[in-house]
Formats: sequence, structure tokens, C-alpha cells
Amino acid sequence: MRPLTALLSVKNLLRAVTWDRRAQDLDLQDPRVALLHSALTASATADELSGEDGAVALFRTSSARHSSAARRLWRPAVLSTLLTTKLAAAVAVGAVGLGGAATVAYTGSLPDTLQNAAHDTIGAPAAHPASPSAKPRATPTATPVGPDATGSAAYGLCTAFDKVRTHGKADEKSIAYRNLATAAGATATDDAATTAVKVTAYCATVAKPGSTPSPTESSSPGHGKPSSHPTGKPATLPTHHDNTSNPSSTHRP
Amino acid sequence: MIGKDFLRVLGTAQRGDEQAFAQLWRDGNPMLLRYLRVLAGDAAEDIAAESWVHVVRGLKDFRGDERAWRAWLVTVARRRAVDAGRQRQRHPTVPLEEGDEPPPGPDAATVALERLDTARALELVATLPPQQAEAVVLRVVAGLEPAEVAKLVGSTPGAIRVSVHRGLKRLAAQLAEQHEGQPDEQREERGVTP
Repeated sequence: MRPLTALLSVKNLLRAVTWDRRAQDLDLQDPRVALLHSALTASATADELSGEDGAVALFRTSSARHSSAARRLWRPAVLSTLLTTKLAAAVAVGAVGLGGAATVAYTGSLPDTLQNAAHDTIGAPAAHPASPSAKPRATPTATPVGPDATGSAAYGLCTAFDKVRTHGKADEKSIAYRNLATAAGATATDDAATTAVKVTAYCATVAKPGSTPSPTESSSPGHGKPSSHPTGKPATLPTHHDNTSNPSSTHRP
Repeated sequence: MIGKDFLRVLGTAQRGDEQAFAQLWRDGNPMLLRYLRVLAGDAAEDIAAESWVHVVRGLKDFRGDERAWRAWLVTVARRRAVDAGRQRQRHPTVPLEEGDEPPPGPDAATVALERLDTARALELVATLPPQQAEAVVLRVVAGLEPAEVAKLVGSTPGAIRVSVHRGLKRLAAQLAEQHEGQPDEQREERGVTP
């Protein structure tokens, strides 16, 4: 922040902000308008640039997996829904095989929403209704759209699971949780408590992305407090018809 | 603005170059966040992140110059903000007609010129009637021409010019009230009589 006197006495600055003299609605001859203009167009702050790593990671993923199966699994509607919260973004980024930097970048500074975000994240992929615009897939239940919990998604899922468990119970119907359970060696015959124990044990073995995960199928009791009455909230985030996907049709010069 | 290098940077990014994309992002994200701060308040970061997901997906298909690019970024973000109803959250009261005097914003009366950084300026803009506020921020922050703003928000270039002019003058007047007085501390020291 610069003192007003400095702002107004430096003619170069005024000249710099009055570059567009054709613009009659921008009366930059008025020093106070010029001041506003200057403040509104000032250089980016560190906060405004803090998500660069995450954005580049997203770009990298999109480029690398443009035509792979991931495109089907990570349908746009699902991905953008996940990205509605920063923790969800972190999990999504982790789930598609990205590193810790992206996670940090997108987790940012919203601790208040952490619990809800984690909760939603566990439930989001499963309860997410197929939107009318979504690409067709076999059946909503036969084709899991959640992340692969045996891969690099495991760390993110386990982190989310841990957050949820701290505040309540995971949504055991969610595909993300079921994937986690499957990866943990749980079977369909296991009851909820057994599954939760297995998931807890499994997550204790999951390493951060970058190191080699070492999943075990151990069913030894963990230290978690499993619940037999899950009350996880299903994700109810709406999907929107995605009608801005062809920018060139509307903004071709 | 990236300027004369824009088309080269865009083309490089469209071929998958991360550095080029990062350059586009560093230029576009602050603009998007400032726009969304006015439009959607605290939801700005989330909507911006969603918008980039969409932009990354559509990047290869984009054709246009830098202003078209910025208009597209803004269009993507705006649609998300509006669809999510976040705009209404930001402006929960009865919408003001163009030209109505807005209630003085909580910060408008206390912003000293010396403290007018970007965040405070955006807070001030957000005290304008929503249509004026959006016109100002698209015109000034996004750097779009009145015709481009008009197309984006469904108005006319003339109406946009009027909105921008009135909005900026209104804010300038608020700043003027501050500036014409002495700094608060001195005024208090001298008491009520000059």
C-alpha cells in the first residue's frame, strides 16, 4: 500500500493508468477514479497466485489422461463437483495421481469447512446422481466412479476418512469408501464394524504419494472406533448442465 | 495482460506445455478471483477452482485473442457463480435498480485513501448495485470493452458505459469525502471545530 501522496504525485503512474484514452466511461483523469483503477488492477498478490501448483497439476493430469480411461472415471461433472471444496479438491488431485504440492495448493485456508468437505468427499462420488449431460455409462452402481483406492488415491481417501472419523462416521455406502474397504481386504460379508477396522488398519499402512504404498490385508483391530450405524451424509451437490464447453463457438473473434 | 506474446503462450499451452499454462493461469487467476470476489464474495476461490477445471478441459478448443480469452474465463466463472446461486447469497436483499442509491457499505465510510489496496477497492466496488459492480469489475479488472461486457451480461454497450461511469464516480465521491477531510487522528486531536 502506497501513500496517497506518492500515488498522486508520481505523474508516471497516472500516465500508466490512463493508457486507454478512448474509454470514455473510465474517467481516469479523475485522480480518485485513477486511484481505484490502480488498486483494482494492481499486481497479483501472493494469495491470488497460491494455487498455481494445483492448477498446473490439474493441467498435467488433463493433458496426460486426455483419452485414457480416467476420462471416463473422472467425468467433468464429478470432478468439478469434487472441486467445490478445497479438501475435496485435494482428494481429487490425489486420486488422479498427483503429488503433495497440488494438495497443499488447493487445500488453502478454509479450516472451517474441513469437516464438511471431508464428509462430502467420502460420500460425493457415490451419491452423486448422474447428470443428464453426463456421458452414459453402464449403470450408476455397476461402474464405480470413485477413485481407485489401491493406487495413489489411497492416501487422499485415507486422509479424508480420518477427518470424517474424527467428527463422526464415514458414509459406508459411498463408492469411495467401498473402494477403500475393498482395498483394505474387506468383503461383502463383513459387517460395518469389521470393515471400519480393516479400513483403519489399511490406512495405517498407506504412505504418502511419492513413496511406495504398502497395503496389507491385515484385519487386526485398529485403533479406530467403528460404527455399526453409519449416518454419513450423502452428497447432494447439484450438477449443472455444462454448456460452456465450446468456447470457440461463442468467442471466436 | 500477457500482451503481444499471448497467442504464442496460448498455442504452447494448447500443445501441453505446463510453463505456458502456468503463465496463462498467473495472468488469469487474479483477474478471476477479483471478479468473483465482487460477484460471489467468499465463494470466489471455490468458483475459480471449478472454473479452471472447465477451462483446462476446453483449452485445446479455444480460439481467439487475449480479450476473447479473458471473456471466456469470465463467462465460465460467471455461469458457475450464477448457477450455484452464489450471486444471490452475496446480494441477499432486494435488488437495487440501476441509479438507486445503495446503502452505504460497511467499509465505504472508513476507507482512507492511504489504505486503498486491491482488497479494499474490491470491497468498495461490491457496495455498488450488483449490475454496476459487475460492469465496473469486468471493465476495469478484466479489461473488457463495453461491447464485450454487454454481451457477457446481456446488456448494451451504452448501458455498460453508463453503469461503469456512474459506479466509478460514486466510489470516487466516497473516496473524496475521505480525502477532503484531514486524517482521522488529526481531526480528532483538533476537536470538532476546524
